[in-house]
Amino acid sequence: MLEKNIIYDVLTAAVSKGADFAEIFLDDTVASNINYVDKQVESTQSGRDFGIGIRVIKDLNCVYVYTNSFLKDDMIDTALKAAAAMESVKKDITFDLRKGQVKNRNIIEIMPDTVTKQEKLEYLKRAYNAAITYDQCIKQASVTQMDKVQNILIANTEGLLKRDRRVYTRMFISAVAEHNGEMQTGFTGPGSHRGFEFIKSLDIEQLAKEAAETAKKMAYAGYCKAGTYPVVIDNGFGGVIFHEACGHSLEATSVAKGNSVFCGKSGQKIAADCVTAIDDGTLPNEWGSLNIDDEGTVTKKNVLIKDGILKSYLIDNLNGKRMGMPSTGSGRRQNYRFAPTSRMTNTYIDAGKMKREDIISATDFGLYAKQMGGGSVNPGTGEFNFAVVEGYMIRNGKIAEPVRGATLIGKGSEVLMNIDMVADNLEMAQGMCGSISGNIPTNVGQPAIRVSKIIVGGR
Amino acid sequence: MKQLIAKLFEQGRLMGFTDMEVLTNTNESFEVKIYEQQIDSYKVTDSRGMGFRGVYDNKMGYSYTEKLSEDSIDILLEDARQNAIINDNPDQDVIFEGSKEYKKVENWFPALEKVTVEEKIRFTKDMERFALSVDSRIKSCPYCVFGSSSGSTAMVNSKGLDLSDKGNAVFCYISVLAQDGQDYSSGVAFDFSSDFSELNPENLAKEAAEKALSYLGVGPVPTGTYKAVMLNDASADILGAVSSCFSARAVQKGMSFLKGKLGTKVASEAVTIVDDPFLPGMSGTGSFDGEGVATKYKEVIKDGVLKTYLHNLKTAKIDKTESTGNAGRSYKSNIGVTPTNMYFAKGNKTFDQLLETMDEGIVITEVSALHSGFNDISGDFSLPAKGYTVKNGKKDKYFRQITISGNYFKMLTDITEVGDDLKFATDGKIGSPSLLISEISVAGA
Repeated sequence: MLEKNIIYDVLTAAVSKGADFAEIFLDDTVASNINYVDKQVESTQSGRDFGIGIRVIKDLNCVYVYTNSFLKDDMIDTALKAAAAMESVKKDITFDLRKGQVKNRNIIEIMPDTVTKQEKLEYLKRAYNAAITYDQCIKQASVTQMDKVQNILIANTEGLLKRDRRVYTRMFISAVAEHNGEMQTGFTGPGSHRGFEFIKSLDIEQLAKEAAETAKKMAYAGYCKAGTYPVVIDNGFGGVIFHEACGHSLEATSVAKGNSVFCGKSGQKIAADCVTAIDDGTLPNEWGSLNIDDEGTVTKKNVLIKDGILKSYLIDNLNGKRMGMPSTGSGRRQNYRFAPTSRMTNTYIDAGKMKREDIISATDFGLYAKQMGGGSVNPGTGEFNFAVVEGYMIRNGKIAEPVRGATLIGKGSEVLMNIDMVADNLEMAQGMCGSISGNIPTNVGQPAIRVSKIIVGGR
Repeated sequence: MKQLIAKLFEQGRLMGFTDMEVLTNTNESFEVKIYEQQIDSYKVTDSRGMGFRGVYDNKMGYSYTEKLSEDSIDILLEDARQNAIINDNPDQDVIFEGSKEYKKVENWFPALEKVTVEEKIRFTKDMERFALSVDSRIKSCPYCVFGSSSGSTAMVNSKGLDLSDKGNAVFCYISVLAQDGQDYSSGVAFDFSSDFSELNPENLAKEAAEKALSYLGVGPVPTGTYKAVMLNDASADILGAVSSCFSARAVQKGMSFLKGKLGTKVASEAVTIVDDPFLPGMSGTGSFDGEGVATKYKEVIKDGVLKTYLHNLKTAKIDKTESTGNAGRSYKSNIGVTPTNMYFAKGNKTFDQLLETMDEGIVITEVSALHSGFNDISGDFSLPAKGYTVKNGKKDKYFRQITISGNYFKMLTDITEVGDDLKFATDGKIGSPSLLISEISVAGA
């Protein structure tokens, strides 16, 4: 990707005006996508993202520069720009670049670029047909398949030199149902840190059916009643509640500067006893998994909360320096255009012992959130919100009529304490998480849980 | 660059492409973030990308690269060819020979390039210092940022089109965190301009700080239906989320609520929504669109009646009409449809007059979760919001932790007055004045 002597020269230029540390992140990514709508290829794109990001640190100050140029002189110019911004008393930094081995936990069988677009298209057509023929009320379907091969090289003035390759494959299926002139959508979007074998392993027809079924149910549903009451959130994408309500506030990005409600709470009780939460970047071939993070640190399994007690934050190198704590392998970025910061990988609430059915039957009145949509949080205040894509009322311990338009809002610190039941059906789901270092693939996950009370926005 | 494109077209022709086009974007940007009066991050970027598209066997194929060198030519052409082969769409994009006339837009401001890094850093530090000095309950400024960027777009095709636009702008953003005991509250303020001297760090700091302080210790209002004034900021954010409904492509695909509504009343008479590519210094401003078609001013909704969808060449051909100059494209994307600068036309009441007219009700100052709480096909929304109650036409009590819900297109028919305080969202292209709405559903306490 880049010769060792060029890397050395660029790093040397970057620290030439008095920084403590410099790092290169070279990113060479090949991406492909196809979108199929209305029995036609609506769009199809292929391309190459290529660039080099250079980060220079002095004390706790950080300068980040990037360029798309692949010419040595341009890279050195870019590095000198960064160096100039840090101008101070020059100190001598000497380093040797030692090529580090990266243990590959994410085995890829079929590289996506070895599969023709025609072959990929066949899967899209199957999904489209299954969704559109599900029911007369399904008026439209849109299917997208994307894959990405990211080749990275990370080197720094501490002598680190590592390369890695990340392969992502994902399929999105959405269906639109219409009833009485109103339109509702349903959606499935499985993804993996795998190659095209992942698409081959999917039950495409079943996934399309699930999307269409959600759309149909919601098109026929009435509006959810607004109020504060118990909510049972099912497994899989339901884990977005932890991601938003708690995960972001445990990132050193917020914690290091004291801008999180969980600052200084290490070792303290921040959640109900039944809550254990984990961030694990080591799970083989999971969507949020990495062999090494975007600073070159080997990823880990981090227990964030154990039986309600806060055990660990998610930490990158620079914020770790601020906090006096080591990296947890959580430094991530979308691509060369972003400096890394602490982010989640695969984050989930661990399985409990109850059965989902028992949680429902223990709930006299409430909302059953079968499928969640996206959400957001303000880490400073802990205020979060997220949308219920497919919901049902619970009446007398039974799942009753479907409802739409529900949003759950609250404060992370409160909702964690209000989780009173955790089932055993742990499952993960894929999402794209957006924050200051860009959009990155992350898994959310949980078994079915009950929150004893939460504000439900509806009508 | 010229040489590279010439070579690309030459090899493309040998490969069997008939018409071809290259779109090049370049961008240089600077961004500084201050935390506790120190430079927390400092970013300088220089980037470019090239998008190629070409007609192969009467079908269009797309590809792009960020590595602008001769060794990328083969991959660009082969990728585009592969994409053309599977492109079975009966309605194909076309390479355009050019419009008769292109209006000159004012989007490049030489004075901006003379603002020094020191001035930018001083501005950002001032902004943070002012915010922290407003009140002892202001704890920190998690984001205190100043940025500038300048970029260009150039389009060259084998039908002789050769167009370029360039633009620059500066922006600043501050978020403030306030704390009182165990309660936290945050507030943000932002501005962007084509004139550095128009930005005022003190006013922005005060705005963000006051927003954060106002919501400390407050809870929700009771669940119910309220008369409401939607503040300009909040309304602009929501219009941004719904803007894809105006795309003729979304309509043709049955993925817009506005399907079949052309020429009908879709909003109250108070509502006129404009798409204007000629506003100086805005991010949606440009003389040509993503297909090289000359952009134009249009009223999408006039006095409540839906006048036009937004079209590119392909959607216009399907609807047997003309392109409205709304083809959207970056070097990484296929042709789509996008608004230029879209906004509600101003009314004539001041914000205070809107409150007086409403008399009793609520003001929605801020909404969030637009990416998840908004259905951009149906217009259904359920969004967390903040605001304050209004009694006898005056501000009464602040509230937060509520959600507002409804349907955007129903809401358009419930707008009774439009204010004169037009403001654009952080993206610099979608704007709104404050709106008086006859009823809005609130989930709260």
